[in-house]
Amino acid sequence: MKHDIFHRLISVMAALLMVMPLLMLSCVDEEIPCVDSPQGNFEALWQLMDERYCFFDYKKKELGIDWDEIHDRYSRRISSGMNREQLFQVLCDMIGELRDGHVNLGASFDYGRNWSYWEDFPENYYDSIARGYLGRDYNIAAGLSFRVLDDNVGYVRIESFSDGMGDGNISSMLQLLAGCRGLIIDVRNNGGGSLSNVETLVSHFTNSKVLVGYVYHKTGKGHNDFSKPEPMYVEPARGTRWQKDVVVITNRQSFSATNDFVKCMHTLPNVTLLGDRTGGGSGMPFNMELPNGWSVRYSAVVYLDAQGQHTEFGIDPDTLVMMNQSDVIKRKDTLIEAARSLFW
Amino acid sequence: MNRLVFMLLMAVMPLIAFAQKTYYVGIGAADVLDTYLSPYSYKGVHVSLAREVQYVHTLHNLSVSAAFTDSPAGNVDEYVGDIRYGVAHQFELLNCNGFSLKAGPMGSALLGAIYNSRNGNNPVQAKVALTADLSVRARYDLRIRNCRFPLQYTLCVPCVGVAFSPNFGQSYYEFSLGVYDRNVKFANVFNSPSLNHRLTVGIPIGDNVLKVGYMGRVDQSVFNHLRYHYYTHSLIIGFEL
Repeated sequence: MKHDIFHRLISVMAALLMVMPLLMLSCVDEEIPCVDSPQGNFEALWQLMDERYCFFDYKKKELGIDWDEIHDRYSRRISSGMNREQLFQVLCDMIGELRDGHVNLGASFDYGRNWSYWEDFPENYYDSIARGYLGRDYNIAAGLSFRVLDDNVGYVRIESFSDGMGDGNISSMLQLLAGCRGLIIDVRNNGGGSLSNVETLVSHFTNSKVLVGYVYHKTGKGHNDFSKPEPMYVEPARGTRWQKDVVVITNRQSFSATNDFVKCMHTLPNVTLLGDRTGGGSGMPFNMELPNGWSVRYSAVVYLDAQGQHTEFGIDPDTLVMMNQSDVIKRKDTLIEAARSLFW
Repeated sequence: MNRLVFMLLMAVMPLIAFAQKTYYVGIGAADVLDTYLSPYSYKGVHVSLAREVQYVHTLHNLSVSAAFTDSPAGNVDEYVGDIRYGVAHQFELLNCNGFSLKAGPMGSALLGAIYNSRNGNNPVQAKVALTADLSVRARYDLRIRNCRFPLQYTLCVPCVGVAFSPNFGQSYYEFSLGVYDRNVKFANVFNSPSLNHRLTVGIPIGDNVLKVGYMGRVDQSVFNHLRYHYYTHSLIIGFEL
């Protein structure tokens, strides 16, 4: 009897299963309509940013940005007869309101950006002058270019954090520079790269586990839907660790992962920041796309400093030093010279 | 001890003896949406290999599939790859006039990934799931001029389980920092309504059977506001040994 009831139950469930395919086929689909028209692409970009951009609450406080008002203002500039270059311009103007170097629009004919974080400021860096300090016989270890300057100060130039940077590279470099009185790390015009490389490098400058900041992400589509900020630590490296003073030279183009490097180094006791304010860019960017295939980049994950403060608009140096034009004429780098003087 | 082993072997032998092994290869169309990677569905080609071993009451299914898809604008590629294994125990519900119906519980495991060729910090979405499913197998022996052409329909519907998903805006880099945030989700027919089904007709060739038919897959989920679907429709050819 029990066996019969069991079989009947299975029969009913089996019958239901046969019908279920018809019930389920149209369940989970796109939420942002894929309409390739000027209006469709405009709405798609606005909605995508509205749901996913992570700095709306912060930029509302800092810049007074009202994303709904921006929609109304820019939608008036959209018309069905506009060509792709005109549409691109309007969309770039709209996302440019966010003043975020990580917010970009990519098309086959242009790359939309707001680089005011460095374009509006003195560069404080001349590549040919800085290269003069490295000379020709400098060492290259992965992404690290370095040499000993004639006053026995180590000088390390890092142009990018995109190149692989292993513990072995860093340890070897620090061993070669071990006899120096101090170390200058020059990250001017370094637009960022991999956060893993940043963490690896920073770990060679601390002897204990150190809190370097907090990270959180969006958990929903609301402007304030965030996860709890989680602490981020850097553990000391197992290889060679630097024990002497360090000066990190920055400018407005020290952006993104480089901003994160500066943020981490700033938590360490024997490190001085020198130069100009960094460019910021503390959000990790994600990529999406519009119906017409243009790529969209936007800040998705928020990184705070060890005090729980935003560094989206940069980090101030301990010692503000700007490039002196009389030094430029003499082929001297004011910032490097100022950094060297700190070791005397 | 020897007697015990002998008895176990005697118990298992009929199961092994009645095992039907079928190997399938399939090709068809795929439609993939994962809003962690893109707001839009990518469409392209789907290929699959599957091995089904059928005992009296037990069914083992192992499949490997891949899809090569393009964005709506055609300028970005997305690749899908996964491996799925399931084992079912089925009860015979009906067996008359050449028609048989079996159904029962099934346990499935899925491991896969989707790669988007354009994205920088969000290029990949991992797919991991363990589910308890319901499986159904219907079979009818169609006879034409003393020849038997077995028609078979199999259906598998995941009912409950656990699945991995990043949170809405969470980066995979955060996992390397030990930051987890509701990444193991309870899956059910409401937040992940999915099914796999297959309809084949067998054509006897000597002692073996060539199977030709259709295979469809509807994988769907909404976890942490991230929407996912993977639809495939394939022509399959199998060989039953």
